[in-house]
Amino acid sequence: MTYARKAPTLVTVSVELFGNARLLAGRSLLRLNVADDCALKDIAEAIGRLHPNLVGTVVREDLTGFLDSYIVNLNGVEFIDDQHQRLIEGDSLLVFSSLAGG
Amino acid sequence: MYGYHGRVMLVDLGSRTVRWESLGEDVLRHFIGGSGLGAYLLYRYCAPNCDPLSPENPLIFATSPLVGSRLTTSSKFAVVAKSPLTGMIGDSLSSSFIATELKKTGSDAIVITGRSSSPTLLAITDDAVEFRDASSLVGMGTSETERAVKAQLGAMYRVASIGPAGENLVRFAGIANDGGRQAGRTGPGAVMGSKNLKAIAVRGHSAVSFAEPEALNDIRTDLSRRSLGDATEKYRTLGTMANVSVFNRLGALPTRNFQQSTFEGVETVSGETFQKSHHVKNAHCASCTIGCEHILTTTDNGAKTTGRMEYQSSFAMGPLVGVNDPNTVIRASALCDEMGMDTISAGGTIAWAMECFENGTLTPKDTGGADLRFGDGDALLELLEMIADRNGLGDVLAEGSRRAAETLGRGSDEWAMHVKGLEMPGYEPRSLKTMALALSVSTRGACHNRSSAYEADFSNRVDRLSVDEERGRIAMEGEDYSAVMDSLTWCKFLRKAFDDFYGESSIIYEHLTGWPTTPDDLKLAGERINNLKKLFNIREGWTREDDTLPPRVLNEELQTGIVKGIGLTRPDLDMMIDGYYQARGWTEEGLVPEGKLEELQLVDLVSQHRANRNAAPALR
Repeated sequence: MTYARKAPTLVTVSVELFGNARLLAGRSLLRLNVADDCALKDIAEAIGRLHPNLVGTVVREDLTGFLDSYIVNLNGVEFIDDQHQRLIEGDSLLVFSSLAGG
Repeated sequence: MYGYHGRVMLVDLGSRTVRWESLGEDVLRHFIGGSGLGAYLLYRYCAPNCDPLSPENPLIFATSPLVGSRLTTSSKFAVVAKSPLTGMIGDSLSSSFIATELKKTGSDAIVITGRSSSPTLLAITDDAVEFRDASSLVGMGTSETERAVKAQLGAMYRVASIGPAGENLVRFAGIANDGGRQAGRTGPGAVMGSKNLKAIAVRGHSAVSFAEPEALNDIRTDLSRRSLGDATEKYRTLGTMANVSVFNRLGALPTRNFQQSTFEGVETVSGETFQKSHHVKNAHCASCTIGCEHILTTTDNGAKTTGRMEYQSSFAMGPLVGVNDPNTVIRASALCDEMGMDTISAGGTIAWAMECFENGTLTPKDTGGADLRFGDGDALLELLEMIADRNGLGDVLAEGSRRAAETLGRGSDEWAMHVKGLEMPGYEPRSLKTMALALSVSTRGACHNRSSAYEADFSNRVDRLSVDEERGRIAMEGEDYSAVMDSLTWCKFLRKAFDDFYGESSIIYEHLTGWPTTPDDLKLAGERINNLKKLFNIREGWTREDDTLPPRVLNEELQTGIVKGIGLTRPDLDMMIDGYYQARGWTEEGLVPEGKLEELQLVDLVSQHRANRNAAPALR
């Protein structure tokens, strides 16, 4: 028997923006086509390229991830980091401030 | 002594006398200032089992060693008293110029007891205390009172005052200062009103010295720089109102008296909408570089209203009562500020009444013919006025949801959403399980601010929808951390600007006071302060049964959003509470054992007051 890693496939995911990210982008919802095994930094880079005014305010200047002041949640259930599970078609990524409370 | 004056001012309104007592190094190091020093003074000066609205209940204003240092966000103070809502410890923090002025009067805290025979304005100028007639101020709102007092005494005086709600002993009345800042929760305004004390005006010239002023200058510059970065971005851009749409999406936005955890009208009352369509400017407290206050204005054809808005107010005057009109939310919040009422308890109590009306428990006969339906903004505004004036049904609601449900009966306590008598804040406990535990065990009732346990739920540290015993340790650590923040007194919005909170704060404390201090000293102080608050509650009649959540939370599953079907069972809550008591080193019944008292050096303080423990039945 041979063990082969599943080849990445392209999936369409939604990105829901909240707070200042929404105001800066001028919209609350983005759709991205990404590889299902993509890392969080790939999503940050895609968002940064789509909305350059989010670079330095939501996404790191070098597009290597989100600023520490932002956090990403998958489908409203699980907060994710670079170790997150594979994405599937139709997943929603929620991007909002990591500063809870108030 | 550096950083402190080392004394407390004791004012008796009945005899119109003033005296001072010294505060030794041990007391100050053990309880720090603010909330911790206030808890110590309450334990010491409050007559056991006294009625919270009696002359024996001390009203305490406590500053901290940070006040006067001009370190960013440090201009804060605590107001502490036995709460007329909970019958347990009530502490509330406020901020801005009056904190600095209080400290410049030459005392670290002011303890006010007794009751004046007529409405009184307490004017404190350094050591001189004047008991002035306040008859002309009666009935004024808080901002109007502040203007009138400054007109009498001079613009340099800083003023803390109550509005009609405090005068009328609304049990969730707050105390306002500096143009609308509020010591809002647990009813300190009712305690002030029970003393016939309309306002306090302070002016001082006795600045304390600090042990290492040059080192503090460097830290001040560095901390201010850090406070402007990512660590506070949310507070500067949308403010805490940013929570509304996020919480809604996560199924954590209590709606229609916690019957739902999502609100279909969220878009119109979200932080994003307020920022786009109603924002006037940001404002700062004294000594603050963050500027989190968002001043909003109405945009409809009604009376122009401008006021500050925070998440808790927008939640309580919006989704909690089903209101989706942003102008009404702004007006209702501003009205609470002017009347001097806590928006969370006001909204929570009105939401209870609206549910009572919709399910037929309250009838038009009870309401004077008014329709109290969720979403009716006019009814909301009218009820707020009626509560502040104790008019009609407002007289019942002015007692808070717990007492109102006791008065009405008919099973309405099933949907009275409070813990220990304090109404629930805008965090749905069924979808935020760490927060659920913290709300149940908090010494001041349903409080989100004394644990910051939501931080764990809004992270990948825990699964917010499930429970485990580890939550006890997380809640405890959050409480101790918060106690140190609230005692030093830092603003919690600065917390992410610290790389090592205890390490940096211990160095700053050492520079302020000259007393060698380790991070572990501060951690121990946080634990000591929370244990003392618990000891106060035990003295006033607390039992394990008080550490619970409203029946709705434990009996009903969530109905909407991505958390549909999620609930919290009594055994699961009990398991978390057991874990919390275990982490604290308390008994299974939640009592503080002798060994813990010794470890925290609380034996002498507690034994001095033990003889009085059973002096009289507890009054809540």
